[in-house]
Parts: sequence; structure tokens; C-alpha cells
Amino acid sequence: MVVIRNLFLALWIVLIGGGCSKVEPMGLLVASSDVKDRLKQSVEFYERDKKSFMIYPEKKEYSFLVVADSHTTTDLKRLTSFFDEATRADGNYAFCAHLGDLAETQSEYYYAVDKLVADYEVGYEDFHFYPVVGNHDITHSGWSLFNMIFGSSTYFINVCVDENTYDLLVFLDSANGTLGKEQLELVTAFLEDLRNEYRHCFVFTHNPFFRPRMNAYSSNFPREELYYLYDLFADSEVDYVFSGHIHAHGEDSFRGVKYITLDAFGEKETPARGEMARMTCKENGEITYELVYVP
Amino acid sequence: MEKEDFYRMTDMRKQILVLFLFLGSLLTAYGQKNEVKTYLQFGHNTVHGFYGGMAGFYTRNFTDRLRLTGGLNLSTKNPQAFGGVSADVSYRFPVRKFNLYLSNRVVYNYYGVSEMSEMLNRISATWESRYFQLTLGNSFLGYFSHGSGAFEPVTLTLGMALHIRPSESWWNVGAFIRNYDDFIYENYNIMYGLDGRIDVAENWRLFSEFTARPAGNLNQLTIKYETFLKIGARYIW
Repeated sequence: MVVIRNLFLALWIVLIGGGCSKVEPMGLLVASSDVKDRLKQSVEFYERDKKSFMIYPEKKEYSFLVVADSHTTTDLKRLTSFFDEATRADGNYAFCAHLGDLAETQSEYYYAVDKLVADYEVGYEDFHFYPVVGNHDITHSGWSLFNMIFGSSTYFINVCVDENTYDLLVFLDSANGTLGKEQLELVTAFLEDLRNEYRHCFVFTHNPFFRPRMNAYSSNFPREELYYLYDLFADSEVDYVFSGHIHAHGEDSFRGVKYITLDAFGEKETPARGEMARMTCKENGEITYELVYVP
Repeated sequence: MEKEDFYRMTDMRKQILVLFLFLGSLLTAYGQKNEVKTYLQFGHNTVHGFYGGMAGFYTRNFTDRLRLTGGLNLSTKNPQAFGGVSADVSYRFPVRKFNLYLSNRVVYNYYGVSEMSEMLNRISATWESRYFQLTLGNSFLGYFSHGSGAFEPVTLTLGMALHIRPSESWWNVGAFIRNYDDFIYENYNIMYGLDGRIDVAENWRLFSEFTARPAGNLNQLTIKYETFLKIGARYIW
């Protein structure tokens, strides 16, 4: 009886009391945040201010930067390098995107990131930063912070290249390891109805589709959902799908869609260098992709 | 009737007779038991909403150690109804009071909505006591669709089951966690559930399983992806 009592006590300590900013053991059983609720708030925010989800690049050829998993705590140096690159005068960047796990869930880390983003928004008129949530952003009820600062994690951006040419950016919330029924229906309807009005289509989300590192013990999309999304993206002729989460780099292609899994951007020296994907959409419709690193 | 036709028919009869003798020998040669198991499955998941289906398995126990099982899955998840087929060969090693099973399973699944074929070969070992079962292994899994494909060399298998009564009891209930089901092989999405069974006659067993299949448990943000209930029967002869 004593053994059973001690086992329950140990379990209770692990599940309830064992969490730090990186770990939320209770989340192994039940999430502190459900994608269905987040979607509701995300869509409300998006519908309220749709006009701000439009980008007008200066030139018909434009670039953008993508990073993942910066896990920012107290050191903003690497995130600053990312924003410096995104605002480089000759960079021709239309926007930069973050694939989630932007900061560990503590208010002081988020306020620091929020202030940094605000500084760049004030300093550079054409600075556009688009994040989606990762699981570490919203464990320990961190969604309220993310929602307060960035508003939405499920949204669609129109890049207006000229009056006849638009590119589509789709940002999806996969922090729970699933898009959830409502978000699946939303993105399916959007792509089926509107994809043919756009030239290029890029998808940004946290959870990866392929597994570049087989020993990464993190949840993937359940199989049926994974296969459903492959099919949806192929039928919708999505050009690139960007994801992170797994802290490993991978490049795959499935039915004509390219899947880029980005290594952790990190902070300080973990990992040794921060990985960024630089995409360029050329005037002739060609898309180029290269990896850029910061120390 | 021409003479050649007569001989041809005779040959055919011989072949049919030999086939029946062979099948008969499979059924009776070792005096071992055959099993037929079937269940209805009802569930709800994120991609398909509510669905129903059924599965059937035939097991031939060649000896009290070697067994071969074939299975078929039908589901309303797929417009074509066909869900998958499986074949499993397993060998039992008695180790003191316990059993150790080595098993090789081949599964083909078809995901009709996404037009995806999935094939896997799972090698696993199961340690069985009267109350507890532990299964460990690996699946080599590939999927392909419209000329594209991918291969995952590491899809670990983990399963544990604990029951309140010894395995030889005529009824039992218990709980399990595992990352697989008969026709589902996840990597790091862990399912959990409850099961129960009752032997209603010498050859008949009724059983039921309720499984919760969440998403994101290793993201530390577990939410429901699917739940399903199986109700079925097993007949042994």
C-alpha cells in the first residue's frame, strides 16, 4: 500500500509539479490549449483586420526569409540577426516568417521579443513579421501571450506583385500535432475555392511532414491527416511547405510539392549556427531557394 | 464426351481433391485450434468525422507455438470500403512462467480519400505474463501515391497492457497504451484505452475495446484526434 501511495505521489509530482518552461508533463495527457479555441480567436483577429494581411513588395521580384524554433529566452542576439537580414537595404525582402517555438513560454521572454519586433516595425516601414505558434509557445497557457502580441496563428496573406499577380501565404496552427477538424475544413475550402486566383502558394506551419531525424521523439501528424494534407497540397499545387519542430534539416518532395523542414534557429550557440531559408520569387515566375546561416 | 475431355475432368477432380486434402490437413493435422475473429468498429476522427467499419481475422495454430494470422479491414472511411489487409506469423517461446512471442507482420493499408497506399513490415517481440503484456519492435514503413513515395526506416512499436485477472480467466478487463492498432501504425502518437472480454461458451468469446487516439502527446499538447469502439466475437475450433 505504501509503495502504491509513493508511486502516485511521484506521478503527481512529475505531472503537476515537474514542469519548467520547456517541459509540461501534464500535456502528455491533456493539452492546456486546444487548436479549436485558438482557431476561433485567430480567425476573429484575421477577419477584424484583413487589410493588414496584404503585402505590396516594392519590386516584382521579391524575397522572404523563414526560420524555425528560436526558443528565445534572454539572448536576443540571433533573433536580431534574423531581423537585420530581413531589413537589409539590398535584401529585397517582402516579409519574414517564423515557424513556431519563437520563445519559451514566460511573459518576460515574450515581452522582449514583442519589443524587438515593435522596434523593427517602427524603424522599417516595410518590415513584416509573420509567426505561427509552436508547441513550446503555448505550453503553460502561453497562447494568451501569443494571441495578445501577434493576434493570429491561422491566417492567409496576399502578396500583391502587380494588379494581376498575387501570391498566397498560408499560415497554419499545428502546435497540437494536428490542425483539428475546423482548421482542416477551413484550409481545404480556401485552397479549393481560391488557389487558382494566385500565382504561387507557400504554406508555413510548425509540425513537420517528413522526419529528417528518425530519433526525434516528438509527435507528427497522425497518419491519415498527414496523407490528407499531402493530397490537399498536391491537388492545390502548393509550391513549398515550410515546417520546423524537429530541430533537423530536411528537404523532400511529394507529388510535386517541396517540403522544407528547417533546423532550429536557436539562440546563443545552440545550435552552432542559425539556419534561415531565403526564398526569391522572380518576375518570370521562377522560385529560388537557398539556405543562409548566421553565427 | 470425348476421351480427352474425360481425362481432363478427371485431372481437374484430382487437383480439387488434392487441394481439399491439403486444406483438410492444415485444419486437422496437428489437432490444433483455428480461430476466427471479427469485430465491428465505430469511431470519430478529425479527417473523416463519424465512421464505421469491420475487420475479420483467421488464425491457424500450426503447433502450440507457431501461428499464422490473416486479416482484412473494411471501413466507411474509404469510398471503396477496402481499408487494408495483414498477415502475421508469430512464434512462442515459453520462458519459465512467461511467454515470449516473436512476430513478423506485413500490412497493406489504403487511404481512399487521399489515394495513399501504405505498406509496412513490423518485427516485434511480446513478453507476456498472466496479467501484463509488453510489446516492443520496429516497423519499416513506406507510403506512396501518384508516383511519389517515402520510406520511414524507424517507426518504433510500443505496447503495454495490464489486466485485472489472470489470462486464463473466463472474463477479464484491463487497460492498454500503444502506438499501433490492427491497421494503424503511428510513430510517436500514443493511443490508450480499455478492453474487456468474456467467454460465453466453450468456443465463443465476446470482446470489446475502447481506444482514444490523441494527437500531440509528445508535443506536450495532447488533444483528441480519434476515438473508436470495437465490439466483436471470436470462435475457436
